[in-house]
Amino acid sequence: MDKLSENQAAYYPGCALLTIDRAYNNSSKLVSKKMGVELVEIPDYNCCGIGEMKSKGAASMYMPLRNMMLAKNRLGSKNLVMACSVCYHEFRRSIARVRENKNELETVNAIFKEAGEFGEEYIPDGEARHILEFLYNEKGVDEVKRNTVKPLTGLKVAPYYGCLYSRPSMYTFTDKKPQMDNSERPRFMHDFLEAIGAETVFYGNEVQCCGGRNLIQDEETSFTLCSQTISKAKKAGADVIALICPKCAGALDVNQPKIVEKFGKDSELPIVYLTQLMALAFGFSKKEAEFGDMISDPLKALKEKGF
Amino acid sequence: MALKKQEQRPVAEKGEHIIARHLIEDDSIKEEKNLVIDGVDVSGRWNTFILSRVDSEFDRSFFREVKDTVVGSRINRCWQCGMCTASCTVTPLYRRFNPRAFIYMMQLGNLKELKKYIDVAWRCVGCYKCSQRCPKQVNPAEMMEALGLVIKKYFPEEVQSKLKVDEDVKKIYDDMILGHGRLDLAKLHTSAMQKTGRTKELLGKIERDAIFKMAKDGRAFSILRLGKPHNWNSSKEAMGNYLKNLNTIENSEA
Amino acid sequence: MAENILVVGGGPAGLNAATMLSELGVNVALVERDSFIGGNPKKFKYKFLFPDMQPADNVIGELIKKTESGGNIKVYYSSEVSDFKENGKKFDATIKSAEGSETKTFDSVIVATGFEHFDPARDAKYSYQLFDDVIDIKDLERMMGENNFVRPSNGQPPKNVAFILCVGSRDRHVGNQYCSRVCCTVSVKQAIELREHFPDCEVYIFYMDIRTYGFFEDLYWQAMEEHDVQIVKGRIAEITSGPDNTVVCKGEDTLLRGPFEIPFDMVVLASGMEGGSQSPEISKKLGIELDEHGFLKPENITLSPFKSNKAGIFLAGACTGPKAISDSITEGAAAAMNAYTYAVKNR
Repeated sequence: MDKLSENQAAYYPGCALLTIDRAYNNSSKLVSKKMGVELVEIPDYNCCGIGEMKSKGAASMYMPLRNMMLAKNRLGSKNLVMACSVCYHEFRRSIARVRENKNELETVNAIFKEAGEFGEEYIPDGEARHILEFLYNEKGVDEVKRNTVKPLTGLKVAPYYGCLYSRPSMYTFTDKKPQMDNSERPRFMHDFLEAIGAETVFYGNEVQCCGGRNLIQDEETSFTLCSQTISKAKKAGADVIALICPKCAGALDVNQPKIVEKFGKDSELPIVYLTQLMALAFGFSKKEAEFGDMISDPLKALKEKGF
Repeated sequence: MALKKQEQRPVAEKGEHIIARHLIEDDSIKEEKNLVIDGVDVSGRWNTFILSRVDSEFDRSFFREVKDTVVGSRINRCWQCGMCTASCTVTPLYRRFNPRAFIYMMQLGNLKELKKYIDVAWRCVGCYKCSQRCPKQVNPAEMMEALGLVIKKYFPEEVQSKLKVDEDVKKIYDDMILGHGRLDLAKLHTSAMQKTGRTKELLGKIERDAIFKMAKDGRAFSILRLGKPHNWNSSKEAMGNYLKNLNTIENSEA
Repeated sequence: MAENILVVGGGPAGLNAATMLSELGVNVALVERDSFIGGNPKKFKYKFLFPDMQPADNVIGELIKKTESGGNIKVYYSSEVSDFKENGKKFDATIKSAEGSETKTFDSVIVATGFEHFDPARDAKYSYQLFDDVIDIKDLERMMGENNFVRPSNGQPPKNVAFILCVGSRDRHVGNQYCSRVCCTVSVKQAIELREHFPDCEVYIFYMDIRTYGFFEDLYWQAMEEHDVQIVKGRIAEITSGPDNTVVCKGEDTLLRGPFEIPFDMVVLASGMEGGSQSPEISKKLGIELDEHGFLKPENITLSPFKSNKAGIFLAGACTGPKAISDSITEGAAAAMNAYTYAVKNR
C-alpha cells in the first residue's frame, strides 16, 4: 500500500465505529477532511482489547500495539489517530507501559516474533492520538472557526468527555505535556464547540463515568450513572450532550429509552457526537452527519433550534 | 425473642441461641445439627463452636503473586490513604465496593476477609478516577483486575456461584477478541442476553425498535461485513502460547 | 584577649558549636559526662544515617576529629558542672572531673545536653527485656554497627520482623504526648537495611501515622516501593510469646477493623526521645527553664529557639526537643554565633 502523504493520517476505526457508530466514524472523517487531513484506515486492524484483556499480561499490550505496527508497516506512519476513547486508552496504556518497562517491551516483541507477521521489532516511538486532541493540536481552534459556515448559534451543548479521553494522566500524559488536555478539567471540546458557535453549559458531570464497561453484567449501575449525567445536563439547560466516545454512546444514547423508562423524563436528552455538530457547522447535511443514527433523536431538537 | 422462635421450630437455626448473634459471621460458627458423641446426643446448640476471629498470620505469598502480574505490579506502593475509594464511581452506589480495602487485603493475604466481598469485587467500571488521583500511582483501577485474578484462583467455587454472569461475559469477550480479533457488538449483545437468561428482553419494544432501526439504516449489514483481520490466527496462537506459558496467575490455564 | 565559652555536652550540637567557636579563636571548655565525645550516635554506634545512608562516621567521626585535633578546645571527659553562678553578665562555673575541680569565668554558655532514648522496659506491655527477640531501634542500630545482625535469641537470621512505631511517644500513659520526630524515619531506614541484608525476611511496620517529614519521606517511599516493606495500621497493645520461639504482636488492624495476633521472629520497638535525667539537672543548676515535656525551654520557640530564658545561656540540639542530627548540627552553629555575639558585646 502507498505510504501516506502530508495531508493524510493513519486512522484506527475500531470495531464500534465501523459498525454501529457509523455516525461518529463518518462525521470524524468529514470534519478532518474539511480541516485538511484525510483519515486513512489501517488495513487488517484488530480489536484493541476494550479493557477486557487487561488481566492477560502482555497480551493486552500486544492487541493495540499490533495496530501501531500496521500503521508503520503498511502506511509508514509512526502515529495513529483514533476516535474511540476506549481504544485510545488501550493504546496509550500499552505504549506508556512498554516505554517504562523494558521487560514488557521484550515480552510483547517475543509475541510479535512468534506471530511472525512483521519482519521487525516494535519500537514505542509513535503516539496514539485521540481525534479531538489530534485536530486541536494539529489544526487548531482557528481552523475550526475558519471552516464554520453555519454557526450553531443558540444551541446549548453539554460537553461530555467521559473517563478515558483524559484519564489517567500516567498514560495520557495530559497533565505533563502542556499541549495535552487537562485530566480533571478538559477544555478542548469546549473550545471546539464554542468555535462552531454553540454555547457550552457547565453541569458538573463532564468527566464522570457512564458505567459502559459493565453494561452487560450490570446495567443498573450504568443506568444510574447515565441518568445522573443526563439529568444534570438537562437541568443546566443543555439542548444536547456531545460525546467523543462510542462506549458513552452505548450507555447514554442506545440505552436512553430504558433509562427514561426507569428514571423518567428528566433523563431524556438528545445525544450527539462532537464531530456531528462540527460537520453540521461546516456545512454538511444532517444526513451526511448521520444524526438519524442516534436513538435519542437529536433531529427533533436540532429542528426546534432551527438547524 | 429468640426463645419464642425456638418454641415454634424444633430445630434451631445455626448459632441461634448465641447472644448478640449478629456480631458473628455465619462462617465462624460451627454447629452440627445431629451429633452423638460416646452415646450422648449433643445435637444443635450443645456442640456449638465459635471460631476465633483473630487473624494469626500475614500471608505474603499472595502479595508476591499479585506483584508479579502486569496489572498488580504496583501493589507494594499502596499506603492506604483511601484516595481511590474516595474517588470511586462505584462506591457511592455499592458501599461494600472498597478498592482501598481490597488492595490492603491482597497486601496482607487476608483471604478470609476478601472472601466476604467476592460478590462486589467485579463492580469496577474502569473509569480510572482512582488511578488518576492516587498519590502513589498504585493504579488501583488495574489492581481491581488483579483482584479478579486472585479471586479466580483462590475461590473458584464462589466464582462459579456468585460471578457466573461476569465469567460468562468475559468468556464471550475472550472468544471474540482473541478468537476473531474483532468485536461484533450485535453478537456480543445478543449472546450476553442469552447467557444471562434475558432472551425475552430482546423481543421487547425498546430492543426491537433499535434492531429495526439498524436494519433500516443499513448498520446491521455493516456488522455482517466486520470480518476478521488477515493472518489473525498467527497472532491468536502467539498470544495463546504466551498466556499458557506464563508462570504468574495471569496464566490462562491456571 | 580571647573569649571563654563553656559548652556543656559533646554530642553533634555541642561538638559543632565548640569547633566553630574554636575557629573564631574562642577558648572553649567542653564538658562531657561520658569518657568519650560524639554523644548518643557514638554511644549507640549508629552505623548509617538517614536520609542518604551515609556512614555515621562521616558526620560524627568528622566532628570528633575536628574537636580533638588541637585548636582552642579543652575537652573535660567524664565531667560535670558541679557549681554554677552568675557573675555580672558572665558566669563562674566549676567543672568537676577525675582530674579534680576547676573554676573558671565564662563569657557565655551553650547547653547541648541532648536526649535519652526512651527505655521501652518502662512500658511493660512491649515485654522489652522479657524476650530476647524484642529489641528497640537503638539496639538494632548497635547490632548493625557491630555487624551482628541476627536474632538475639538464637543467632539465626529472622524470617519476619515487625517494627512498632510510637513506643514511648504520643502516649499519655507513659507521660510523653509529643512525637519524637525521627523514629519513623529511623524505622524505615532500618527496615530497608533489614530487607537488603535478609532479602527473604518480610518486614512489617505497625503504625498510627508515619511521620517521615520533609524529604525523609523519600526513604519511606523507597522502603515500600523498592523493598516491599509492608505497613499495617494499628498500634500494638501487647507482646507475648508465641510458638516456635516467636514473639506475638497483639493488635487491631484499624483499616479492616479486625483483631490480630501475629507471631514474629523479631520485634523492633521504635522508642522515642526523652529529655532524660540530665535536663532537669542542668535546668536546676543553671537556673534555666524546663518545659512540660521534660526538655529545656527556649525563650521564644519560633524567634529564638537557641536561647534559654537566661541571657548569656544558649541552647542547641535535642536538649530542647526531639530532632534529627542535621538539625542539632544547625542549632550548634546558631548557638555558637549567638554565644559569641553575647561574649563580644559584654567583653
